[in-house]
Amino acid sequence: MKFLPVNRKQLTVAAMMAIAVAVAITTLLLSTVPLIAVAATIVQSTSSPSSALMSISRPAAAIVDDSATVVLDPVPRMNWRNLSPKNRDNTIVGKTRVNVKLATAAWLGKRAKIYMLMPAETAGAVQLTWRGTGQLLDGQLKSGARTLVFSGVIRNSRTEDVLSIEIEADGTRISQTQQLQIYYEIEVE
Amino acid sequence: MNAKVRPTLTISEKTVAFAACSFVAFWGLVILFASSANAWVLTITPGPQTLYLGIGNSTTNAINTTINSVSVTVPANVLGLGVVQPMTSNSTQSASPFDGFTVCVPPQQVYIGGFFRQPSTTANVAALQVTTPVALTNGAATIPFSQISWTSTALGNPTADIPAGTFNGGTLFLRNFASNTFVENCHTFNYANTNLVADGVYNGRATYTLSSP
Repeated sequence: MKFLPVNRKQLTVAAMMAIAVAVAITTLLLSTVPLIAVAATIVQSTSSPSSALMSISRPAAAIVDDSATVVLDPVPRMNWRNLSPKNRDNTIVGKTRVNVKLATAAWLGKRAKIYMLMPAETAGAVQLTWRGTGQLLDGQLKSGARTLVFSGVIRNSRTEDVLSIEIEADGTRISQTQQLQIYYEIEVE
Repeated sequence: MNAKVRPTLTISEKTVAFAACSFVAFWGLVILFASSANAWVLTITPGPQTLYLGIGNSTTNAINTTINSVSVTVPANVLGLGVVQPMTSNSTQSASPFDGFTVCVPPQQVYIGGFFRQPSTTANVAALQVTTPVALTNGAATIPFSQISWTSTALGNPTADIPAGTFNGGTLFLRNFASNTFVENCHTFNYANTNLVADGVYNGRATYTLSSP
C-alpha cells in the first residue's frame, strides 16, 4: 500500500475543489432536466415521420416535486356504489382528501400549466373526481390520462390545495389491493 | 539543521477509494431521493364480498326477522283424494327489494331473491338450497314435506330462474347464483293432498340458505 504525503493546505484545496465539482454537477443535473425532456420529444417525433407531420409541438414537461403532499386517508374504504348487482352496476366507490403541496419555486413568475397524471397500468378503469378550494382546478382523471389542474403565472414557491376526491373503479377488476400513484407535470408556456 | 516543523498528513489509497465511494453514494442517494419524491400514493381495496337472500318479506341491506307462513285448509270432502290444494301466504312482498319493481303477487306468491357480490370476474358461485324436516307435524301425526311443491315465475320474467320443485324432507339444491348477478322469482306453493290424515294443524319450517365458497 502506498502512502501519499499531503499537507493540510493541499487537503483543504482538494476538499474545496471536490465541493465545487459537486455543486457544478448538481447545477448541471437540475438544468439538464428540461433538456433531457426536449431531447426525448425530438426523438419521439423523428421516430415516426408520418405522424410527426400532423403532430402539434408541446412544451417539455417537468415532474413537479410533491413530496410534501399529505394524503389524509391513504387507504379509503371502498364500497359497491349499488349494493345490489341488479342494474349491472359493478362500480366501487370511495372518498379521501389530499393536501396537495407542489414545490413550484423553480418556476416563480413564469406562466405555466400543471397537470395531474395517473399511470396507464392502473387496473380497474380507475377514475378520480375532485373538488378543491380554488387554488387548483376541479376535475376528473382516468388511469393513463392527465388533467389540467393549474394554468397561469406561478406566484408561490409552493402551490397547494386541499382536494376532496371521489374514487370510482370497476369492482370486478379490483380483486386485490392496488396502489395508485398520482404525480404532476409542469409545462412552461 | 533546519528545525522548522512541517506537519504532513498521509492519505492512503484506501482512504481515497473510500472518499470516492462516499461521493458516488452521496449522489446516488440524491438521485434516488429526487426520483421517489414525485408521486403521492392512494391504496384502494376490493369491494366487500356480500351475500343477500330475501324470502317473503324482505329488507335491503338489513336483516328482516319476519318468518312468513304458507298455509291451506283442506275441505273435508276432498281430503286425501289427490285434489291439489293451492296454498296462500301472509307475505306482503310484491316489489323487488332493491329497485322497487313489482315482481310478485302476494299472498299467493312468495318472493325469493338474492345475489352474491364478489370483487372478481371469476366464475365463482353461491349455492341456493332449501332444507326441510321429513314431515310437518301435529303431535304424533305427520304429513310428509314431499306433499308440498311449488311453481316459479315472476312478473316481467316468466322464465323460472329458481326452478319449480318439491320439498324432499331434507336439503334440496335449487340453483347456483353467478357472482354479481341478481336472481329472483316468485313461488306459488301447492299441497298434493294424497294422504288421508287426522284433522288438525300441521306445522313445519322450510329454511332457505345461500352460501358461497
